[in-house]
Amino acid sequence: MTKITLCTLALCNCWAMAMPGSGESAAEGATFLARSLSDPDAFAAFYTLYVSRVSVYFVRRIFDPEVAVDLTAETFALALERRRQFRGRSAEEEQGWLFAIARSLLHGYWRKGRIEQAAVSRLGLERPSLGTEDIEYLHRQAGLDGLRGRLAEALGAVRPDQAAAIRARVLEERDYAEIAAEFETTPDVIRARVSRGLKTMQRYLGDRVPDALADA
Amino acid sequence: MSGDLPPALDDLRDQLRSAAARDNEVERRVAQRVRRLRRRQWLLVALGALVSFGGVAVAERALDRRGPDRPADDLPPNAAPAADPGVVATSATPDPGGGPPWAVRVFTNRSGLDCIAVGRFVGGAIGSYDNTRTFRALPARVSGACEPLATSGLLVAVEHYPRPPKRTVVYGMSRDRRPVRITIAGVTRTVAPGGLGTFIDVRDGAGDLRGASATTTVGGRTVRRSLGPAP
Repeated sequence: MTKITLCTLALCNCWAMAMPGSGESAAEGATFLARSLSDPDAFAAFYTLYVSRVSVYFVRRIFDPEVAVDLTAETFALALERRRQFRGRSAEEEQGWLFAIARSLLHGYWRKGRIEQAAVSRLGLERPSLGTEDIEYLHRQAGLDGLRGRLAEALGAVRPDQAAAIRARVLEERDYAEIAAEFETTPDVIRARVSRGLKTMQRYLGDRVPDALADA
Repeated sequence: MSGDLPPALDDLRDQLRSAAARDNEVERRVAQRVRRLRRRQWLLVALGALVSFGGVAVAERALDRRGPDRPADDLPPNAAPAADPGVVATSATPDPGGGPPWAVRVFTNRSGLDCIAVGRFVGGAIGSYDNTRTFRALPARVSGACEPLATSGLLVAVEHYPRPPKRTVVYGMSRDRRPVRITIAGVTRTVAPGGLGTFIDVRDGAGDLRGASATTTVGGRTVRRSLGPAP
């Protein structure tokens, strides 16, 4: 499987990138979430409208497409489970609500070093398996080529043990268990180093992406 | 591919659409049950009025109904309700030592979850025998094992009956009614779900539940549930 590597991330400079619009929008007077309560296709339309922005949001902060897609799946699974709690009336509120879920999952990942998959599991969804086409799509949509210089710079701001874990995991595409064996520690420790290191990188890159919607 | 999404994200959309459809169906059923319960409450009010006006005998018969059972029109023809409306008569499974068979009672709890309870099947009701070998029917508001079957796909529970003759009873409901493989102490049995997807496996003795499991297929996926601690 192809992976985005820090080698491929090492070049350019455009962080905020306008995403192409999908051409689909919530119908007048009824959000997709509201309509999805009686029409499952409305939830599929909601997903189609936002999935690129959500996955790009994660990819630009985690740089690991597999983790990003897992978090994207959990975001939409939670949105599906909680859609009856949504009280908004506009597409903007709908989008804000969705990204609040995404942000919460991202911070959970940074804090715990593991991917929350409870809603995916409860709904019986199968974990998406990424192929080359998926990776290339995420790479293209996130504009990662344009971030390489900044990311390499940001990696320099990370603690050495965390930077080493990020290099091993993201650049060299190695399993957590294998990295843990090399560093004589546990996979959980490596996961924590990777996620915390990524969080530090995000802080370093920081204010350029003040909000998820800046990515959208 | 549709909507210009790559295969993995496209597949995820299809899965989410199906999950939304299942969730909507569960919600529709819950709403339907709530409406039925409300109608039942009105009936109770009317019956209360009857009691007030001296219609004691009529009211006693009407109030003798059991809790919020699965609506009768949800039951397929081959799972006609027994005298206790929640008992699935076709779930009756013989006991290895003879005597009354075992059967399950299916009901919906206040949270709208699907629930199931098991017992010996006597006179159209399920229950158990006390120390004096007297049959005691399960009370109307009995608790059971509960899950949202529409989303979980498999509801399964196990009970040990410590009084002689000792029994280990695995029971549950399978949404897709595919065969369920039950393994206890290395012995695997396959049971075919009956009415409402209910199934029962009765075994002699108090089986060691370490590593015990129940496995079936739901929506084309294998679903496995542990019945006890890891071996």
